[in-house]
Amino acid sequence: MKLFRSKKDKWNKKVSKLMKQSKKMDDLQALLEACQESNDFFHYEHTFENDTLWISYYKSIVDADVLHKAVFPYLEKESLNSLEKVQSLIPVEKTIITSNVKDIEKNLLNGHMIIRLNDQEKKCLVVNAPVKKERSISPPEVEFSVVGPKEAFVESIDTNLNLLRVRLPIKELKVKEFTIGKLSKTKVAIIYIAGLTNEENVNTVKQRVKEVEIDQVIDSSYLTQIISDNPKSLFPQLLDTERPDRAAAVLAEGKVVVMVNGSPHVLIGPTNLTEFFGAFEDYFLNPILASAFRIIRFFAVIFSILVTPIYVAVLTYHYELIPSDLFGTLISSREVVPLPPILEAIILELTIELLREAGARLPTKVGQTIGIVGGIVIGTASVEAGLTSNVLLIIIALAALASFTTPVYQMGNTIRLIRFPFLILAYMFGMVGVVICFCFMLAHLLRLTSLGRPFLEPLYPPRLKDLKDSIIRFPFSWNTKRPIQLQTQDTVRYSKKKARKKKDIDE
Amino acid sequence: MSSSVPDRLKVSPGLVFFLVTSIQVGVGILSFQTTIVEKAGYDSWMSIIIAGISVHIIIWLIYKMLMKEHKDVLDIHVTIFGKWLSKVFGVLFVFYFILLTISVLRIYIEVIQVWMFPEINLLVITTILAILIFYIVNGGFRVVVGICFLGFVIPLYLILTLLFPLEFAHYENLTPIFTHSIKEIMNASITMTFSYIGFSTLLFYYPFIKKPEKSHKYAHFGVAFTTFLYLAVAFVTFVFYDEEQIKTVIYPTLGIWKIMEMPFVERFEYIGISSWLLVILPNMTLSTWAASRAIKRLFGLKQRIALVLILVISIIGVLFLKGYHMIDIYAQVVTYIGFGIVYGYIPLLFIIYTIVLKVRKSK
Amino acid sequence: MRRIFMLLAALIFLFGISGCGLRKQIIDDISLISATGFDAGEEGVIMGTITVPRFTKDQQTQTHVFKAESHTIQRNFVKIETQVQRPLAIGKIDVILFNEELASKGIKDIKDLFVRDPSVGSRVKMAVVEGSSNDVLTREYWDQDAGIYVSSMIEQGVDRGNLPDANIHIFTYALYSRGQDPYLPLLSVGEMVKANKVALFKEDRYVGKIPEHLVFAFKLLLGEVNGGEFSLREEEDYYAAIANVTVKRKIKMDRTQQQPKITIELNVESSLREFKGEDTKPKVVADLEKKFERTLTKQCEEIIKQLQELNVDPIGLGSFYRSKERNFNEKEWDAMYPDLEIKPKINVKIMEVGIRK
Repeated sequence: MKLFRSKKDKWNKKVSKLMKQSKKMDDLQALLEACQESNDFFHYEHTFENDTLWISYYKSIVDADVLHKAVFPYLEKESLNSLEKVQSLIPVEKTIITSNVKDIEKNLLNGHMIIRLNDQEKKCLVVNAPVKKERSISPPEVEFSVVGPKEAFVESIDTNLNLLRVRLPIKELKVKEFTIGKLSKTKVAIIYIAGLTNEENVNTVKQRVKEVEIDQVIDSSYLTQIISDNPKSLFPQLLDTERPDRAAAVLAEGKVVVMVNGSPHVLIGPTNLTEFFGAFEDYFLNPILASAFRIIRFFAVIFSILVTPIYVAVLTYHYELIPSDLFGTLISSREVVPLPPILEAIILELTIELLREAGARLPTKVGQTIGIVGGIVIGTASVEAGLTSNVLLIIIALAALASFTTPVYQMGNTIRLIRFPFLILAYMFGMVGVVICFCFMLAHLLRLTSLGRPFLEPLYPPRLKDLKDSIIRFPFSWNTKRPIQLQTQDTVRYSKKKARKKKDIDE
Repeated sequence: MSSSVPDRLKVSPGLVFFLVTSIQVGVGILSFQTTIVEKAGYDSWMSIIIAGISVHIIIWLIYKMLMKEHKDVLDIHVTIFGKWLSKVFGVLFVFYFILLTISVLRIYIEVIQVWMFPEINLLVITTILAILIFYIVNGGFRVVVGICFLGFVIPLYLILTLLFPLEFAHYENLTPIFTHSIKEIMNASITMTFSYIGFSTLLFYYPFIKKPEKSHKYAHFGVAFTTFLYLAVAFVTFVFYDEEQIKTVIYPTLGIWKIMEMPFVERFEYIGISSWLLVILPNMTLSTWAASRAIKRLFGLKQRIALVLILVISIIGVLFLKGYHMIDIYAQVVTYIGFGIVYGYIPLLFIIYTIVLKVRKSK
Repeated sequence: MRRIFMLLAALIFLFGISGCGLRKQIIDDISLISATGFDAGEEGVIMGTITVPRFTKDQQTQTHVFKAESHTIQRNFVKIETQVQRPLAIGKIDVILFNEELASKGIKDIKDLFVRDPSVGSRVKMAVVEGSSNDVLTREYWDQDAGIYVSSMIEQGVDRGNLPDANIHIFTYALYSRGQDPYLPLLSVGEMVKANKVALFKEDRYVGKIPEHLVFAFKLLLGEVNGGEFSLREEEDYYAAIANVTVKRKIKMDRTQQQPKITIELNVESSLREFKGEDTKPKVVADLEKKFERTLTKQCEEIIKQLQELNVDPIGLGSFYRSKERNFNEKEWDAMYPDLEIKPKINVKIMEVGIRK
């Protein structure tokens, strides 16, 4: 522990040393020299008809088209004696004249170019000309849905904000931006609807984001791991989504959305356990269908976690439980297997994990082949060779299938891993072990919070009103209030009276 | 050390229902039928109701007492006995709760030993359960209440298992009624009260309830539900077993499960006993919580350290108890202490407290 | 502090996983007993037989039969333990058989052994064998395990046939009950093993049997019939059978006299299965109903007479009497029972005549 800490300290010192060096460069000349050490920095004198101007920018982040189409043509025939005049001639918006070296540095690195009258001049005209290289909006891949909108967030925070604002064209939708990451200077936006979202939740997120100490934020998942209530927990405590429609919907419920530049996933909080079992597609379906699917998913998850441990427990200790008719099948399938049930189960579970990992790492086409080869060939062969019993093979395949039904990928990972402690305790104490492990899981879930709100809500604390949109989904006309969990300022979504107005026969 | 509790730690009054029920239903429900039938035969269902009513009265007394100044029992002790003497009475409660935890833990492990794993290592299983209790109580009162709630809701499905034995029901067992004397029935009622005690933890968690006066009715609902549950279980056991037969069975409720046969599970008792852990967990966590809280309030010790101490004592206690007879005697001693506290000490405290408050007012 | 705690947890974990392991009963590493039979030998010796099914990879079943003789049951098991390939496991036992001689000496002690063992279920079937139970269990039942075969044979006899339901719980209940005596199915051994009779017990001792042709009426008297079959043959070419029989039993007690008079009212509903005679006109059916009533009443009376002679009460009349009588005394009832006036009153209704007129 101490070893790690000292390493971390050293590293911190290094970073701050670097920072200090850059701070020393309050001199513009020094800054430009430092920049010129990179080969993608352009620094040259451009000659017009009457005058010359010094132009500097990073060609890798500045759109040269702006320079050629919106700057040079307008300056060609003029006499350029002051920067103010240049500024008034260029039709580019938001240009500033400054001699603050810090500002200049920041802007240079953010897709601006600077224009000066001569090389010794300290005053610069800063022109915004960022190059926009971003992926176009594509259909969601992780949270795919058959019906409903087909847009997913992309890496650019501006596009993502646009996707949200289009869905919530109200002035109450507030966006608070922060910059975090000592090196990456990542833009992070906290989004909420003012007058609706509980201020406490917003402040919690703001405070936690502000306190983040890290050099780089590559993706929103970095942030999840830092600002979660209990970062050590296996369970994700912030929901991440790539669907703008989902983000917009939860904003209207009164939740807070955190967006990170460079990440196509936004974070949603506070969230609760049941939300991880609801696909957003559920809202596009009839409530009865949606409820049925949610229940199926919920049981699939329980099945996926418990079935292999129960198999191990029953086959190792509680043969009395097994129905007599099943005995023939079970025993004859295990007859030739030399391994005890626990090893058999662990080996097969690991095989499935291997297949999953291999499939995920390889290119799509090869991955599919691996899946088929692994599934069929290894499965059949190991049964034939008498390494595993075919009953267990079926059980494990089903459990793996069931674990894929969770609509949120992060939760799927949790379910994959949480099976192993269950397995080991099942081996140690049979069914009692399974229940002990289950109790530990319950206690853990009870202790978890999401942005300070109970994670198990609405199951515990029991809130019947919130249960209407949890494991089952009631019709829209029933969910007229916002979740109690969020303690919103405005609890009413829409008028219950109008939504549930009943007409008499033939009216 | 005052009994004031910050608002964010409080729980809503409705949850008192689960707190009361879940601590009453524990290992007792596995075997209470035998003990009451020995006293009053198949008339003892009346004893269940009588004992239930008496518990209602005690709950009413407790609320009357606590609602006067909205303080917990330790503050009441200070009011009555002064600063030092009050500690003695507080320690009594601490001991009682520790003994209760040990008794529940040991009986559960005994059931596991007899029915599932005769050769289970006491130290290992006790330590694992102690770690579980530590993990829960360490989360604070909210988590303890959560376990009480889930420990009530999740095993609720076990009520359905009461329907299976009705295939073999002999309803004529229930008549004629009143074949036993009032004295025998009252005697059985006293035995039955043992299955209700444990709710005296209410004296400690009272300050943790939001708007505690509202929780009064929920406490009564809780007791009423427990009574109903005991009645239902007793009814099924009575029609399933013969009166003479039941006296030969140590755990009639588990015996009922032996007859269950479903297409996918032929013997239910293994699942039943395992999931019973969820039922007894509230018993143990709530009483260890109350004990550790009391130690903190009495001696200013950190609650976490108190908790570790209690659990270590519990583990040692469990290891010390060996064999069915020793456990049985121990459990009886604990229930007698509990009986004394509930029916002797609490009414007495109520009377003294009322008098003390009156005297103070008149001054 | 924290580190010590973690270390402790890890140690316990390792300890738990390796050293103190519980006794494992992995299903393919144990010898599951499917049935056991007990026969009386000479000088109080008990012969014990157990069957262990062996499931092979191609889903075939073989039966391994083991035998031992000893004065106690437990000793028998210890002796058999020395012969088997894998440790014995009693948890999935299906049938316990006794031969007549042993059963007439009392079987409570043997039964208690199984009741006391928590791994034995409450639905274990018990039966008495005419002859030797060893014989029943050593026979070939095509490629089926003997224990499983006998168990399913009894089960289907109870479910669809005329055998009354009896398992270890029902037997124990009746044994302890103050107003009821136990009964068990009785297997007759000839060329085939048949589950077709009922053994009557006084306390735990086998005292008499109900012959095959009366078993249906016996089951009626227990009020248990649900889908049984009964056929009638009064004259040479007059033959009829009813099926899907359901019965509702009502016991009535007239306590005006010193000795109660008991009427057992049986309302039988059924459908006609086989009929050799005229068309099934309403009149004919009514006539047939009468004939069935007459036969059944006669049979019931015969059974009741036999029961009273043996002074056994499998019907549970004593239990019924107890539930109505505040000052019930078991001894008085026992003394009173043989001379009671017990009358069956049977009302047969044929609801359906099949799909042919």
